[in-house]
Amino acid sequence: MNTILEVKCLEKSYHQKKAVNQVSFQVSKGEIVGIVGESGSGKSTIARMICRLEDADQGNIYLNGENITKVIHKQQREIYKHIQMVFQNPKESFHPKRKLGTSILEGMRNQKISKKSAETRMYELLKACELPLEYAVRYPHEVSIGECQRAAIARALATKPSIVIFDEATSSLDVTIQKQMLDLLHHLQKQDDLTYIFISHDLALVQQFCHRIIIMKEGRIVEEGLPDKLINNPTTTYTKELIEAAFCW
Amino acid sequence: MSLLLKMEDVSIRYNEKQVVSDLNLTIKKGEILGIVGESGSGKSTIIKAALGLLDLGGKVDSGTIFYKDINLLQLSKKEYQQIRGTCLGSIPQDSKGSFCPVKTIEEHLYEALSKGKKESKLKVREEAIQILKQLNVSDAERFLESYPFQLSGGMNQRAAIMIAIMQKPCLLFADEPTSALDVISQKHVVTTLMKQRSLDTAMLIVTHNIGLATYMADQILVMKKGRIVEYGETKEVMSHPKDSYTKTLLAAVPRIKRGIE
Repeated sequence: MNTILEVKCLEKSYHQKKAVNQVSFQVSKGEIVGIVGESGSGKSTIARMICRLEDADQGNIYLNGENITKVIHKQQREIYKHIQMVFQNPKESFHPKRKLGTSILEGMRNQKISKKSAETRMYELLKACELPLEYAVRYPHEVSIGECQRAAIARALATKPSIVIFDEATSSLDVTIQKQMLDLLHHLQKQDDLTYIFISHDLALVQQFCHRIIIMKEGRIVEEGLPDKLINNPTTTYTKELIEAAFCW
Repeated sequence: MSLLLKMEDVSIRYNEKQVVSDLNLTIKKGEILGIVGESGSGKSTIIKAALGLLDLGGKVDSGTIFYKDINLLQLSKKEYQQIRGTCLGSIPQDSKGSFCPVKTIEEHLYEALSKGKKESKLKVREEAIQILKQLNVSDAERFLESYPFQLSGGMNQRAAIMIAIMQKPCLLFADEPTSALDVISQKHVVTTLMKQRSLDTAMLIVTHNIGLATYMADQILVMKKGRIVEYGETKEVMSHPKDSYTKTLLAAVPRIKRGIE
């Protein structure tokens, strides 16, 4: 498979503490990669660096072979066309005083897509995300958290990205809504051959949803492998600990 | 075992909207009741009603809520304040939002304990550090001196759990106590809460983590759209769910699969 994203020796520190330490991995087109680890293990920091929401201290990020580690201004906006992110708390990720439709349109308008084409795409996305079309004129507080997360997915897909990063995007949802959301994401991934990076602390969910799992601890990758293989034959103590903790209930 | 909480035919509404209807439940001393159900099913409202903390526009329309032989719905604000934090403890869903931003965790702790038996600050601090260590907090001393905004969501959640445990209530209401935690921290929190239960603390736990509810609770109550759809012994409900909604809920739970490659 073609490598779409490559992260090489990535590092990031906050107050002299390394949040991400020498992290390297590759993601192929159409692949769903899960990143698992406890709070503070550096998962979200990596996601933010890939999306260019944070600068890396060291290392490089390549998108389709092009180094995007330090791109700024116009080139940075260009990245948003290809990489999008869905956050944990959908209500906080939307402007509270803007209608959902306006937020979904914003990315497309920034990409200079005509108003008419952008609106057509917005309605297509609402439909694809199984939301009634009239939700375009609703405010975030007027919809449920599950519906709001669907709108966040619609917003992320608006610019037709090749990579979508989900940062604990289903962890605030109850299990039935979570399942609906994962079914939807699977369907969209297959339909558009999307690449997903799925950050979660739920190992069971990642085993079911992802093609490959990366386990992180204290800013480093401690283990990487195919989901079933990794869960059946973990090689590090930390992975074993994670599996045991997930097995408690 | 003696009855600690009894809610009988309770209906609650927010303004014109009925959010809980005909609710009946009981919790005995040392017992854990888990309430599960989708968002908006009225789970958190039950806790708020029992604690006398319904949001603006919220009202218990009918029914009774008894803590031991005290009719909670007839208490004055002052009387309620006296039993909250001493007899009735709580771990709020939005722990960070429940803290005052200009007070450290340690200050919150002393304030929360001001109603109970007076103990020296040194002793309180030592005990708090012990509990924080059980909750997988590495630098407990610095943690206590931190302001809520300096801590992550998971850290604030553990601060709220520590304070609730330190209050030593007879009945602890926990609203999604592990929602901001990773699995390893969840395990520490559950172990700590189960230790409290072995000391006869009863709990009402609201969660959307079905696995956690199954592990912790003696009784499970499944809610949908403000109504009980199933209520009984955890083992019975989980292994032989009768209601179609309970079945859907259980089928949606992701589980680790071993032995397939």
